[in-house]
Amino acid sequence: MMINRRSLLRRGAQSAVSLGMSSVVPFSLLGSAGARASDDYRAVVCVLLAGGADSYNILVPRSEQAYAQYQARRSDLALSRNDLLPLEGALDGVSFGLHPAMSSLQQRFNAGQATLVTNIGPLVEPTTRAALEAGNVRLPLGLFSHSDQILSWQTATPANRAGTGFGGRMLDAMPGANVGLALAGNISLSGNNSFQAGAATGSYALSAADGVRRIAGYDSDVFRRYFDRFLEDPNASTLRRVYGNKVQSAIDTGDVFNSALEGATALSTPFSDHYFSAAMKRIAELISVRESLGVTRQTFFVTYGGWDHHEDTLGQQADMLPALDSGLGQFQVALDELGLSQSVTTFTISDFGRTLTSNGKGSDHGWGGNAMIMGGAVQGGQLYGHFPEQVEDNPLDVGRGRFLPSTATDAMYAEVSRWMGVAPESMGSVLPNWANFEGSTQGAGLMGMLTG
Amino acid sequence: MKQWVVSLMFLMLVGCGGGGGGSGSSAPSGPTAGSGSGSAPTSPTPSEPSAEDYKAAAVMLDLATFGVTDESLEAAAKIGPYAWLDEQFDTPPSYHLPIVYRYGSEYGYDISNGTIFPGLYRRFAFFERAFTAPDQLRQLTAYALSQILVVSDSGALGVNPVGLSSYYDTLLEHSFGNYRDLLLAVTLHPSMGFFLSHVNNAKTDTTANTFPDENYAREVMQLFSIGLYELNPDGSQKRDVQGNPIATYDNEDIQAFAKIFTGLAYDSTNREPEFGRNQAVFQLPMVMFDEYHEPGEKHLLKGQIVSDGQTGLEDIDDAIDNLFNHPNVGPFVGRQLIQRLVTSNPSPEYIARISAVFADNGEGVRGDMKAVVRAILTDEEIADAGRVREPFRRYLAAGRALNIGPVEGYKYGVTGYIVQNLTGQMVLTAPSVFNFYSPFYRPQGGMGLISPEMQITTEDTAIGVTNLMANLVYGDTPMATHPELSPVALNLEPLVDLVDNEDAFFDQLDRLFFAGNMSDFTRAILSEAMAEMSSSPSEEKVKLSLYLSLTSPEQAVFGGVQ
Repeated sequence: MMINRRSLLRRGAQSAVSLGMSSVVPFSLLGSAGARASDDYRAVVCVLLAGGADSYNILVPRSEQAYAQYQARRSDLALSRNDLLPLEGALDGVSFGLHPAMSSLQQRFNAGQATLVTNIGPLVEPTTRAALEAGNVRLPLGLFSHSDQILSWQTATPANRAGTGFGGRMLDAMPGANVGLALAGNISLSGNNSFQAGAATGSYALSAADGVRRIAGYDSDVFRRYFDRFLEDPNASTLRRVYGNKVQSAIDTGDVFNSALEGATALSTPFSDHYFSAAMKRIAELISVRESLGVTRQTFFVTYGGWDHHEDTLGQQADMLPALDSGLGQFQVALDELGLSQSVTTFTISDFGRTLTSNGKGSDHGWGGNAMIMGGAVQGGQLYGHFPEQVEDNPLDVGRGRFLPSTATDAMYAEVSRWMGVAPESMGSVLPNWANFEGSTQGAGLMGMLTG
Repeated sequence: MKQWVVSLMFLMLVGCGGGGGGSGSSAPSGPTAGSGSGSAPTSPTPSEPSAEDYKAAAVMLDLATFGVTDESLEAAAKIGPYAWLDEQFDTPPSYHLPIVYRYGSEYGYDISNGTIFPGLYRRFAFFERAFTAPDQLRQLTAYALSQILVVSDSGALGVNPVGLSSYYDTLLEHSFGNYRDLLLAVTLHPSMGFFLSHVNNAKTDTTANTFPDENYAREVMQLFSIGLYELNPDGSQKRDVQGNPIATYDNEDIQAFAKIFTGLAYDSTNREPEFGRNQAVFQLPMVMFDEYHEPGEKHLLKGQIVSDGQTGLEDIDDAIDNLFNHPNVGPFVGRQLIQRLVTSNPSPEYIARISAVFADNGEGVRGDMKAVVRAILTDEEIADAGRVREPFRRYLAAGRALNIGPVEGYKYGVTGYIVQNLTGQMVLTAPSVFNFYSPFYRPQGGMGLISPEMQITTEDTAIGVTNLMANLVYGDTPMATHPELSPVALNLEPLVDLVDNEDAFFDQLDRLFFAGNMSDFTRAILSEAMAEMSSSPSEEKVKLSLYLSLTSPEQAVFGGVQ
């Protein structure tokens, strides 16, 4: 399969910026090994649990007193202590367990390849309860709102909507990393998203189920010639150009992806049918062709939605968490198979944690929650951050068991950036608020969570 | 899915210089009994509308219906777009639930004994109405509202068609009514109660340590009425002295409103309703159980208080009034309706004009939707519009323009699954209450312009919608259908009859798909394509013209200014 060089070249100059390519793609490198050796490869997979997962029922204290507090606070939402999957070790003297569906996470945690960062959430600057009440601290926009907090997690700029995301800015900061198809740096299995929006780097979306589509009839010469010409209207309005560029990008990069994916490793790791597993399998396959795509630093983005459990939390989590756990677990096995477990780190983000207290059926919108991190580079087997004591008078409780985060999202992202190879001098552009947290309690404690 | 591949092979033969001529297409060509395909008058009469009349009609029909048809063009061109609007406002609603019941009875289901009909029926009902109902503007307005007051086909709403069809009928009923009544009806609708979990929402229970569910309280404010920040009538955010936006409510307000929306439960058709019962009766509004409604005084926005001792429904009534009268509603809802119906980046002046109509329809009435919709569709700024068309509406518009209909002797069986699969969009299937896209989404490379629809336009769906058009134009079984129902078919005959008169043919494509604004650029390319196809059968020429037209960026984006 040949790359459609003609159309790439034709449009290269005019669309480079809007396609997010820093320059015209150097074709000589496509289809051959990238400039860097494959052992330099690193990727992060961002799993968005859209809707605000009730992560205080994913990670639950098991120590007697702490469990009793949990049970009292959560009332009808409390999991049975006997059902919890024990985690080795303790945090601040308290031992923990996982939701009974999370056996892969438990196994990887206890094997030192997974962890959770506890009570983490978006903050603009170090924030105490007192400052919060006095109103003299900058706060994330739209606290407790889905549409805002889901953006705060993806962008790591919770006080403004600059339009770029953490993943996109991270690749912006490593411009030499992807000398092949720049667009393959950020690949989404769940459509356009804010996480991967960079100032310079774009993202590419493909379907988990159907892979890279081809345009019907495009192999017909007569159709293709006229179809292509419609994309070249010199007087097209801005929106028509934006639309046309997306079609052009689909054509150009589709060929490259299809061609590369023909060389994908046939994984022997079994994946289940659930779309989240299908997406994780597709990611593993794409990682296996990283050299054909000429990329050494990648972000992947996948959404598993439906976590807004205002009702039937226990039932819905029991339905949905098994697919999350098996998708994460199967992906990790596939990485082991590819020999890349050290090179790929997967983490979950979600709109927010939820209220500890029940509305009689489920839980409502909160703030801090627990993020899961998995991969060979993770110094697992221990929890990170600070787990809030689940009592009514905890000063971090801003109402009904909504917790002011003990750790800022930026702390986790700073550690991910460092591991990905972002230079210290670029940290300010990747995480504009990180400087606010360096040396503070809410910025501390995650250094060394990722190694290698 | 395979048939169009065969027909597309024909194009390849032509491209290779292989003449064509014979029966290049294996697809049974030609029209089956398309429904409602009016044909254009053939002989000019003194009263025949001018080209300008047709153009004005094409713009209005493009904006105000699910798709331009030959028949509607003739009608609107004759009477003019404003008179056509008046007719639409006076056309009685075509509801969806009767179609669901019709299918139910045809297939032997009995709702009176609690049987749940197959979820598919709400899809059949939607497409039958979208393709054929005379009250197109109302159907479209309800559709636009369905992207603001969002429910989606999750859980019980996906498997029971009554819930979503009845909800859609509620939107239809109030599309030209008052926004206040709409907001109340939506609040009490069991589908919304299910979707945002305020059905069976109980008052505070200090013994059990449970509190009222905050879900509906939050979203009714954030999404259905006032939004997060105080707005000026032109849609811009008000600022405090430090220059920061001013939040419309805080979490205490959310908790206060959560108390308001307690005590509602499903009604029942065959026994006493009961609080906490999970058997959903979706066709009747929820009922109030005052013993489960939070007692006591409650604080609304802007310092308003509802006094102790009211019934639950009186509380809800007061709370809806409180929200409805908030000055944000006009600009907040108005801007989004403009975006759905006309343009993605309305000027502050356009928003302010709609806000003013929302505030007062000229007769002192606030929230008159008929006046609001009329003002949106007759605004001077339509000439400067720019809006990426929703993929779902591109499908509907192509179907209507090409006389989609059931094969003779069969019923409609359009499910929309193919659109959903290829484009990610289908009515009432948004991933959450936040709809398919944000009304503030700015695509990369868009010079700062907002384009919500670009949020669901990816490499994947850009090809998906292209292939959808190929499927529609070249497939002889273009729709995924219910197995026991007939495929639907297009009737291309009117276009086939026109194709050899190039000007008339392109004029018709222009009116059907380009709102009468097809550029010379597009016309020239189509003309070259037709020249190259000159020895091909007329139907193949029509199909190629359609496939190219329907997939061009010019067609994909309404308005060529922004």
